[in-house]
Amino acid sequence: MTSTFTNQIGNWNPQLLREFRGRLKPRSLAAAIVISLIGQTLLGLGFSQQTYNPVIERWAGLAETMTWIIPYALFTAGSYYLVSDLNQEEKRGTLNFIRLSPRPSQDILLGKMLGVPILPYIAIGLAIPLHLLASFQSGMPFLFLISYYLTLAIGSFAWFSLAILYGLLSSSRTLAVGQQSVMAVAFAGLTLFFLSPLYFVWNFAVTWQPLGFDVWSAQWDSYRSAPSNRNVPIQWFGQAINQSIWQSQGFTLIVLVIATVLIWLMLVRLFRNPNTTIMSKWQSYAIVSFLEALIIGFFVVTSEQGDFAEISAVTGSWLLYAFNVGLTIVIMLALCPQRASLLDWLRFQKHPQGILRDLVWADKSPAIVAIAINLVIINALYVPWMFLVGVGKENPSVAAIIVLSMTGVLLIYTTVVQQILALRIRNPYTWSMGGLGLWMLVPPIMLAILQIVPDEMPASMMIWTFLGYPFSDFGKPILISSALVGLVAQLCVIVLLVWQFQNHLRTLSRSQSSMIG
Amino acid sequence: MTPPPVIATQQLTKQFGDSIAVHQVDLQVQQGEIYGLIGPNGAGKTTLIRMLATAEEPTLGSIAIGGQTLIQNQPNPDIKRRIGFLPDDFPLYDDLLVWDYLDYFARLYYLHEPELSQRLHEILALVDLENKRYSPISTLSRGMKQRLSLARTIIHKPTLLLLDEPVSGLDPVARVQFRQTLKTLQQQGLTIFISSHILSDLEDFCTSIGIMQMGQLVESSELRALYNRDQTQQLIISTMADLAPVEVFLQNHALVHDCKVLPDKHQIAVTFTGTEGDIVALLRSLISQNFPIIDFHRTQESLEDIFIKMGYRQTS
Repeated sequence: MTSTFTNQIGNWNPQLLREFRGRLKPRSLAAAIVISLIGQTLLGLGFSQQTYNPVIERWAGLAETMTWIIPYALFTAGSYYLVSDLNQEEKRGTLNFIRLSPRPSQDILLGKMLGVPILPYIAIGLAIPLHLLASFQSGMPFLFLISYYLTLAIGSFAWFSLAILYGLLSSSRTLAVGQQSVMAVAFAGLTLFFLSPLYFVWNFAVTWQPLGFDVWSAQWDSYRSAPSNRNVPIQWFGQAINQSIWQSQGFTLIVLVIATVLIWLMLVRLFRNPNTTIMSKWQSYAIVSFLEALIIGFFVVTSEQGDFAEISAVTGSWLLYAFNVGLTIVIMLALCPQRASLLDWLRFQKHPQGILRDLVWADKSPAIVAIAINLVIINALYVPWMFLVGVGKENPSVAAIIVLSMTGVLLIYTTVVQQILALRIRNPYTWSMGGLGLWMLVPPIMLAILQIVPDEMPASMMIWTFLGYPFSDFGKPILISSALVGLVAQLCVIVLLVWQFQNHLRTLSRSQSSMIG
Repeated sequence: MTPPPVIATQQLTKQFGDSIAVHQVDLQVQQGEIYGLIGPNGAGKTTLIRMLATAEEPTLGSIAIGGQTLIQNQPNPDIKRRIGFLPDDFPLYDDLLVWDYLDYFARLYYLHEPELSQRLHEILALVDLENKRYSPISTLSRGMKQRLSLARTIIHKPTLLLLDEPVSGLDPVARVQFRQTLKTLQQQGLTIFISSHILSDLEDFCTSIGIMQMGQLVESSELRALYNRDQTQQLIISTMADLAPVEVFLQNHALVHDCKVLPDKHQIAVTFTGTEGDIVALLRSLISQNFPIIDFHRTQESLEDIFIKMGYRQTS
């Protein structure tokens, strides 16, 4: 009934064949081809009209423009297709049937990734010959071209994995509000205005830096500054990563591969069980270790990068502080189980595998210990950095206050969020995110408006430290002692909140055992 | 050695937040049975079926399918291959053709050519959709979509078929067709587990019945055993002449428990406690008394009545 080729695709990955059959209808296929050809013709015409430029320059213009357009189009269209398809499947309930099949989740998800955006793939694929032709005609460095397409392939794989993750999450959580098409458009917008520019900034600065693209490009553009000025070495843990081909390619590829593996671990788990937390506890440890090491590495620079090294002590301390807070809050929201899961966990405690082991590893257990472990991981890198590179180099006590205040306030946030998620309320995510947002923003704004700031009123340092904003130059000794009071207050509040949460769990546990009987 | 039960659950419990949907259910279904699960809406039937289908994880307790225990948080591919699950809503892909839809699911269950095409033809014939195989799914009627979903459910030759309220929303003709298909499948050796809140839907083809109330399985037994539990039987007798003398005769009979004239039907309904031999003797004595009998038959009490007698809430 089916051709050998179709049959082979179907045997290898039924999901891929299903997407081809659903999407490669003559009319849609024709539309994709026509759009691609019209786009290419318009571009080609545009450059061929520039008769005031030599022919080779026109080819170069076309090649460079297409170099920019292809990733933008691919990332944006591909992620829109994926998110919208997954939202639709989840809404219709068809994904459940696929889940019940014996095929491994990764087969299905790979089939989706390769098959759902097949029309954009075809439209963009048809433009590749013209891009290659223009590149060869204008003498674009060959190594750059190889790296360009390799990065494009791996970058798409990583980003589309994230798109699938977002698609699964946005369709199955109450966190997401609004129409499914809005979710897809939102993600595509993020891709277009954030990811794609970031992709180019990163790759031009690191991946493609040693491949001669700049030199090639500058020869067509008399206004551009000399290429040597643009070759700023970028360091990661003091090691230049954009000076040799192997380092620049290797760094980008390894980062992308690790990120993709981590996303896939989450994907496979979530696809199988959409009601669970976004990531498992051990996945959070891996993700936090990876991201913390990746980011901190950029703040470790040798004197060669002199300008940056100077600003990095203070600015770096606060940038990393902000990154750590942001990362922990995201992990916290992804890790804290909701009431139903907590109740399940309480019930299983009849056969405990050891409560500590549960709190560190088990999916449904409260996330406070796991967040504490993540904070230990973060601080394992942040603390040495603070004392060797950051503000701690000059002023160790200030560094200690910053680290402790950050850790304390994040533990308070976690306990409160976990407590809210354990309550019997509607939309607990909205409540916890709203509550957290208010708590993080309103008190400091009020204090600032009322001029209750450390510079004006040194005693207020205790409040600022308590709130997790130990921002001061710590010029006077009273500021440090005031901050210490804030830290003690944090500690008391943590103990109180944990104790209160334990009581809450105990009450829940009792009501559970009386229910089951 | 007897084969293990196709379904065996132990203390199966599912809790959603603070409410218990299924509570400590111990269920056994043997090979070749058609097991009907009855219960009012909200009794926990769907949750139970979804747990059996691996679509929902139990809070407590265990499930074994064909003797193999389901392991939580694992893909369980071997068990999934044995199960066909048709939920009460049966979402389909409107962008696919009937053939492509079945081909997709067959491949998801590792069917390969040439068996694949052969199986597709076989299954399309079974659900009577052969002439629709190249039609887009969006053009099918509800009954056809339901049959297509059934075809999808059994494409991989499962040994256990789980059907959740399969006949709700079908017109009478489609219901009859559907029952016929189920009987064919049972003859092919499938074990079928089917839920409904309407008892009469299941009565004429189930071999066993379970009743769920408030998350608990309050009754589970073979249909025959249920009927046998009630030893009294009802006889319907009518004559060409006046009913009164017959009534008098019957009231004096030792094994007649109760005797009621149904004037509008010109019949007498008799509650009789004897054996089959006693029924033959009764008919013989009526004939020998020269009553002009034109109808004499036994009626079975409906399951509905039996259940009500047993003290369960009305199930429909």
